[in-house]
Amino acid sequence: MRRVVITGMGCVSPLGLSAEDTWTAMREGRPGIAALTGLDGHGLRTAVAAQLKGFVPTAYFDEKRLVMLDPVSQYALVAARQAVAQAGLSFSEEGAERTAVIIGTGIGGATSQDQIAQRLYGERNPRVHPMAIVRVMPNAPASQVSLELGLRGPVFAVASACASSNHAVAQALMMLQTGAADVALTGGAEACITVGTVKAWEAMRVMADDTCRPFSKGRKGLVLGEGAGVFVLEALEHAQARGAVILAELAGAGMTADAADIVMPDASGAARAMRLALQQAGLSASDVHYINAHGTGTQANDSTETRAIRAVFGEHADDLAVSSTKSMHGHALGAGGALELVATIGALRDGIVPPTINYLQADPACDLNVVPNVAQERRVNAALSNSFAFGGLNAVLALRRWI
Amino acid sequence: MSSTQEIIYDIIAKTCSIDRSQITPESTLKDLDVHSLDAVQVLFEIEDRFDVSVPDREDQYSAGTVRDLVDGVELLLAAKTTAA
Repeated sequence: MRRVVITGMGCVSPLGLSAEDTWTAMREGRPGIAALTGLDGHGLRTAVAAQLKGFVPTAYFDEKRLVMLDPVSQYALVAARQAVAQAGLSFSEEGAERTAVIIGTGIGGATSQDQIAQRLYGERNPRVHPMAIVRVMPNAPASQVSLELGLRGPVFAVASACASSNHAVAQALMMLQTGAADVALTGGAEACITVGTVKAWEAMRVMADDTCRPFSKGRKGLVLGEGAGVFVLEALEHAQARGAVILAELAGAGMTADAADIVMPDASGAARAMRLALQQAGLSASDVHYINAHGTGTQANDSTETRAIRAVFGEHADDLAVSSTKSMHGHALGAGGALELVATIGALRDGIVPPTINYLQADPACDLNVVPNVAQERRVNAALSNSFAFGGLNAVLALRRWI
Repeated sequence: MSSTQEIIYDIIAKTCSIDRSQITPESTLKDLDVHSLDAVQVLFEIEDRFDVSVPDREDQYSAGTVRDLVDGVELLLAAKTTAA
């Protein structure tokens, strides 16, 4: 199988409108969670969210183009442009046919879906915008990236709720490993902070009313986030042939399902996914120095994930740094793994492990080094990034530092 | 048994597929072997039936008894009447 490397990353997140700004905020432990804005008048209980700040769509797209684009596609496109620019890629006719675009999303065009419902049921207006379908469809982010950049290889969306990004990246990895494509733009996008989606999350009673405090005593649940992360993956020889700067090696992925419960996490399913990722990457447990945890901040996830990590890493678990950057950028659902890949690549490149902020005090059920509140300097040779989803779906990425 | 209590017992029994006779005022939802996801649905059914908002409570599931739940809903209903 061919080796696969990452040569570009792009991101719009509650921490910044570029991968660079997002990573800088992460290593400094800056909060992206703030008072929820823009959804007044609907009696929402939710007081906080991690929303993009200062994202002006017309700075990136003309009015005519915007008619086609739900925010979820806007975010994906901006991230994709950044990733391709960093990779220094230009696509020949043949190169474009050998490039895949695989973008995960948990929901798709949630804003547009809400607008349709508001018109039909709220305003009793029978007319729906003719571009509603192309805005709402979950493959819109992938298709819009393909259209804008002229990429004509395999293009599709991957949906696995909160693991969508990692499943998408894992799928892209397999395509490059097996030779189905030479280059892939992959990651995830989500624009889920809409009245309908927030209400639905409220009803599950898993949202924190203060902030997101993963692995901490006193944690109350998750805080919704949004954004997109898109990465350029290349077969190693393709990247080397054009003299690309390599950010990290995407060494393996592990995917499992719990087949246990639609929402409650399962330590054995999570542990199996981590083991499979290590195995495919050819890493032993002791090679790993950092895990970017799923770390949602719910009671159930954080203690279950701790048990799973202990099961996989044994005694070495106490030498790991394990942090949840969701404490800063919130839970961006289908974009979560992509935002977290920015953190994982940053840790590998800079030797700085981003913190779990908002941490109050130790919870005996989450007794790992969770990098409380302040980043830690340490050389990271290999890292995992965990994503676990409703539906009992687990996808773990394994990365290796590129010297 | 108050009608509020009657309705809440009915909701718990139906939502969680348990025998109504098992439910006592002292039972917690955990005692009744109610899955936490079912517990969330019980709260939804109660809110929908009585048009009240039951606030989140951290130990609702493990420590809150059925009596607490009934008392809480009756307080919410009383507050609603006063406000109206």
